[in-house]
Amino acid sequence: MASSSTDSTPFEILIVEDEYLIGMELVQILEDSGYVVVGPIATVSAAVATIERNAPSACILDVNLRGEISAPVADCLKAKHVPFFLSSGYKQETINQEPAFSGITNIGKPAKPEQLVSALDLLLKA
Amino acid sequence: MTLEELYRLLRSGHIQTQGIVDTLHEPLIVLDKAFTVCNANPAFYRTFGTDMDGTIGHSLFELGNGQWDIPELRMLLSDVVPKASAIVGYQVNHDFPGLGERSMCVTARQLAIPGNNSSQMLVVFEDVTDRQRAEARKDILIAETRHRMKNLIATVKVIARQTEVAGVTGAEYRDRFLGRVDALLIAQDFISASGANADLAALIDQCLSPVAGERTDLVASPAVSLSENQVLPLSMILHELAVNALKYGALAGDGVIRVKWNTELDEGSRRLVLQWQEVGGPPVAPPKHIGFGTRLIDYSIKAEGGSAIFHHDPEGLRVEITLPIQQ
Repeated sequence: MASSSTDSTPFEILIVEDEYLIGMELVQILEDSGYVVVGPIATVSAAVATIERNAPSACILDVNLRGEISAPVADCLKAKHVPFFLSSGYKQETINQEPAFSGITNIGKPAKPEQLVSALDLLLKA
Repeated sequence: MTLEELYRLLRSGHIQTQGIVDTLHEPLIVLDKAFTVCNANPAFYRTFGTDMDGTIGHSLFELGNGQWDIPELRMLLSDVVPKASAIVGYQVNHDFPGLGERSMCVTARQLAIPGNNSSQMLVVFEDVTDRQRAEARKDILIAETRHRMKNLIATVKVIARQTEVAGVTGAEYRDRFLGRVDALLIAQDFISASGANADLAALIDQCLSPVAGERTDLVASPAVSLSENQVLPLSMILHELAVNALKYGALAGDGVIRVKWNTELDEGSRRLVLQWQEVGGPPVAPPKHIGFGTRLIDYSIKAEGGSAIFHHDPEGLRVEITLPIQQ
């Protein structure tokens, strides 16, 4: 379980994911771990607008959103100092081609629930 | 051989060569040692929008406002004659006036004429822009296909994980899992067949018939087209409702599922109001636990900005689903 449940204000995690059932499972895993979930948001423009409006504590970011690479979302998260990791089925060398994703961990898709939660805990502690 | 015969032989040879060069689809020029153009073919004039006067007798590096004056190309060409070497497929990316951004493959080799000291060089330009673009598009397409395949497998894994295991037999688990995978595949086929214009009536029919067979009563309702992103949520919802009807509702007895819908305006935006009504089945009671089906419906409805209200009427389950539609 995430440490978030003991904090006064729970962490808000933004999920940016366009695959319907994958997004649904992410929501369930995070909510079961005591996080407050924002999303899933399925498009680049909507994700950027959401982050601009209210920066979340952390973000789980899909790389391909309905055919669009989510680099602008990554740039926006970096600008707002929001820690995030990628959730993508792409190979690492494909991801590396996009400078916006440099230095960002990809937990893979699908990630195991416990892996996801521990990666998130680590991200929030940093 | 008389002089006349020799002349005729040379002339026919010249005409033949000229014919070959003129017919060539690729732009071709002949340069002398100082990179001055001695000859050019019609394809060259055509491609670079120039003519004989603006080409012959000029240095290659002056042509077209110096568009070929590229240090690396100059260096490579300088080596062709003295070293009798050749350049094969040297790529020049350039914004050519009137042509736009193009990629040209330059091939050059020495024209050695026996007994003649004047060294010339044959330079052929091949426009590879379209080919490269087509290849890039193909790469993107392959990457996209691979991406979709991975996402599909990831989605199937979600269904496998989310399908209830407690208190069910292996066979029950398998049937439940495969039913959901089928609902996913129906949605995928439906999206690829109908694109951006998915017809609601057709989707309902395709989702319900594998589970309910003939026992669905689709009441004539106005045509509604769904966005691509609504197809999967709706087909999963319909599948879950149908399976529940088969287990506990109207389809467990002799009943039928009656589906009808309408659209209405709600604060300026149009929404779909869909009625799911089970009739003629055993008395129903609210479910005791929240399973994947219920969670899925809740989530889909919330994600799509709609609502689902369940009425466990004794005469049969009634569900009212509202969903925003673009129309």
